[in-house]
Amino acid sequence: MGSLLRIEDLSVCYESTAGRVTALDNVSLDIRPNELLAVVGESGCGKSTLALSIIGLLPNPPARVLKGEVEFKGTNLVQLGQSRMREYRGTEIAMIFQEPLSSLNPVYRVGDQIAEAIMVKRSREEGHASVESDFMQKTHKVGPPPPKASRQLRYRGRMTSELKDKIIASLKLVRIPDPEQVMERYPFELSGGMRQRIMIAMALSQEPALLIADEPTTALDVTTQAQVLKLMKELMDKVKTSVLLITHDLAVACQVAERVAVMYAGDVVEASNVFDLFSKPLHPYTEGLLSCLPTGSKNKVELKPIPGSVPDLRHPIIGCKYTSRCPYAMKVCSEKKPDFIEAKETHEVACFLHGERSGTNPSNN
Amino acid sequence: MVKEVEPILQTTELSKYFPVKRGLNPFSKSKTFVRAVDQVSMTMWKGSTIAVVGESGCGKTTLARTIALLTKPTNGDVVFNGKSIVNGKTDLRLLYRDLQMVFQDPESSLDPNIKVGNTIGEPLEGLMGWGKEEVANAVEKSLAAVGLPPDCVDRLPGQLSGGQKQRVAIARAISPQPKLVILDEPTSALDASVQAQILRLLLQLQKDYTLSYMLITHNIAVAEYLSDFMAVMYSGNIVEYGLTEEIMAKPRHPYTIALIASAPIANPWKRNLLQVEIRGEVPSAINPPPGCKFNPRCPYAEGICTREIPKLQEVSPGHLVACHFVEKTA
Amino acid sequence: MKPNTRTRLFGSLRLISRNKEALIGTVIVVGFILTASAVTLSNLFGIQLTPYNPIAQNVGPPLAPPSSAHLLGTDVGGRDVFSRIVVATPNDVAVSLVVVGVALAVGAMIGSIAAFRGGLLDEVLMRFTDVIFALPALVLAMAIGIVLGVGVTNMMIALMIIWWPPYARLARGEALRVAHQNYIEAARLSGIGTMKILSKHVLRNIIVTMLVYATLDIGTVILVYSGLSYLGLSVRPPQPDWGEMVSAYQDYMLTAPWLPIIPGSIIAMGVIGFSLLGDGLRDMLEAR
Repeated sequence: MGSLLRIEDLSVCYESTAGRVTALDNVSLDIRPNELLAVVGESGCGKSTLALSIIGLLPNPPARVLKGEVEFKGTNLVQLGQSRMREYRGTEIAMIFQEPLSSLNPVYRVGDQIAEAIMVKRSREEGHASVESDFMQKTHKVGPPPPKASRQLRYRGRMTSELKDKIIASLKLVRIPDPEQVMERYPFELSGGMRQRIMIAMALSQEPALLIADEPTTALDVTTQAQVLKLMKELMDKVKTSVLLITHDLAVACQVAERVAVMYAGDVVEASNVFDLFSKPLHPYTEGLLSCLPTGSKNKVELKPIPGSVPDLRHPIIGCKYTSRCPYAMKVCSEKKPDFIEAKETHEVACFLHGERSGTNPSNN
Repeated sequence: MVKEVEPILQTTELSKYFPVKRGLNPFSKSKTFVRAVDQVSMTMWKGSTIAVVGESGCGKTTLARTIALLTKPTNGDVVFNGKSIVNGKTDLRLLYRDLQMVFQDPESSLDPNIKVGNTIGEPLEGLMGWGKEEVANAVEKSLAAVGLPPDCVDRLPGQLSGGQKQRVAIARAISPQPKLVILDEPTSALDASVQAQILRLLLQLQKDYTLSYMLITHNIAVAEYLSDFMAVMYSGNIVEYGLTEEIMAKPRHPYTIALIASAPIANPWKRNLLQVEIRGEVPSAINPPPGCKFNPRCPYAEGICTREIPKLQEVSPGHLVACHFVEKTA
Repeated sequence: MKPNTRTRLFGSLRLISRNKEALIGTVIVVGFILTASAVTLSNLFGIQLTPYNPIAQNVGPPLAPPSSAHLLGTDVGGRDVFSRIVVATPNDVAVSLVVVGVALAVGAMIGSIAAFRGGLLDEVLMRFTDVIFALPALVLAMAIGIVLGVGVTNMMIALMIIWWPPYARLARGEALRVAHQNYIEAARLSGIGTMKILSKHVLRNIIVTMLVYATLDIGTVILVYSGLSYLGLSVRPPQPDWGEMVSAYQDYMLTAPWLPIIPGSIIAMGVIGFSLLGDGLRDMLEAR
């Protein structure tokens, strides 16, 4: 079952003058090689915190990792310091965000920014542990400084044709028309869809083992979203990357994911392959979420909204966090928090309605 | 479905052009215009919901604002409740008793310094000139109608959740008991579970108060759910118009086909998204392509498409499409 | 006090007490304002608040260093420095508060009307603002000093004329931001007229940013007014005024250093106090 990334019992909190908010409460999840795992949840469920925890970009003063492991290729990322984490970030684990305009540096041409991504990769291949750069993080210098030639290649006037070809190739890979023109443009001159595709190009130029995409298409038009998602799926196969897709849109997850994890108020409440999740959801929240999506005309479909609202995470809650809105709530639900267990083959859930699959793991109840 | 066949609102060749100023001279007359809404003609029927769907830049929000006279139309006519309202003599105070709007962003819909009760009562003060007691009574009723507790009256928007804020915005819009409510992306900023609550509320209110809705949205699923009629907009023009059921089952305009195909369906066995073949991007508003604005991206485009803007023509009763080669999608 | 206001006030007090700098600033500012009020009241009733008559000569040995009899020493004419400092407080405090207050009010009005009406009116108002902005404070003050004569009130007038343009610009920027908010459109759909929209919705939403700027600005006015006073454009001796005292005492820097240092320090303290308060206010609002 070899997993690429294994998150185990991860707890992260945010501390502010208003109190402590537990953004992730004992979360366990794993991502397999070459699969697209969608993490779905509504606002405040902790999905962005999860993404940032993996890649080590949690804002350090308010956020704190309380416990848990994030095991990537055998190393626990949580324990690594910033300097060692940089060796993974951008190279083995890449991330793209929702708003590409703030991910791309507005004062550099797009071609230069892609060039930098390529240069970082080349530096790593050549065995230099570092590359001095303006807008990707500085890494710890180990060994001799990089040769001067590789630094000159960054500047537009002295860019070698080899580098230029590589830039054009990566733009073509993400199906950007007129790549020679586009590489001379500034980010603000391009549309949201193109910017996002450039971000994908930059992220994938590193050939990372894992690409984390945090709501990458939420800010895009519907047709552009379809183009970008389709592209991501195709490139995944080419580059042999796993993708962790964070989204609030269950429909998007249904369209592109192999496996889906559902989060609620800081917990992963259900995780399984997308077909089982959709046809036989085990957790009441997943069930509720599916029945409140409009899937046809009002005359034919009845929306069943989930009553109530998401609990305030500033106040610690005893038992299962979904109890107050759950149609199947039992007494035990407000007393103990259910464990996240494998109820069926590759289908995990945290709910007292579903017991342990017999014969696999010992029950902890 | 449709209760009466009387139109409540009709637009005829309605246009809104924005001048593009070049240079520093504030007094120069512009020669270039952004055709945000370009000769839009459509009809809304009493008691029904029409969804105006399209992506960013198609002009749907501008259309809504022009119809509500929040911005002055450049050309064309709007007939509301049998009377033309664009002649500049319309008493807005009377108009807005019957025509109201709910905005997209619940955060900016409510003045953060004004209590909920006063916000909901604002249209009653300004449009009806009621006294404090009458207003208070009406506000109480509106709060109950949208499912908010009466003690909300004294709360400030900052103390409410997104869904609650949107309910307040809806309460404000229905407090003068309008006939037509324009809903501009009412649930786009809300989570899925909250969206479902608001959609159900809107349906309930429509039944209780016999409202007509004009729903502006880019979300096809919401449009399909809530609306009886649909108008698809692209770059300022309506490209397809008709019964929602018919358009969803058999879209005829190449853009509508692509749009519906791109809308993610919550069903892993129906992976439409990965089959979508659409290229290019939404055209520039200042420099649109000549002829049919969709022609650079259209798989069926030929000669005439780059010269003439197609007019809406009937392909079946009540179903209109603006395409020179509409027979290709039959 | 209504419950809502009370909670907010106590919340603010709690926040201020957490931020040390803001606390210091508040203490200084409150001290200055109380002193100024006390002096003004005592003048009205003809009571002498200070230990010595501030303009009386030879109430003590001339050029005496600070002692228990004269807290801040005496000047060359044997006048008690402490009394002079205290009595001069209302000048700086009043001028700075009035000038900023007027600038805030005028600027807010001009800026928000320009933003909302737009078009020609906007252009005209903003160009007029630019013209006034170009006038230099000192030169104008001197011109007024020549035409109308010197004195605290005249200097206050001079500053009021030229102080409002930054507020107009700020107000216009803020009003433009507010103008795009949906609640403004909702107000129009509620039949509310433009002027009422401005007073009911716009002003309340732009006033916060402007107040922060204003509080920080008060220190600047104190400094500029003290400069004018130093140049002799404000009071005529023997009336005390901090800026004038710096000018009069500067020759004694080596022989009686407390003389020029003390009024200068008081001016600095005033500026620092208002700046800290302004910073604290801004932090408080950003935290919100």
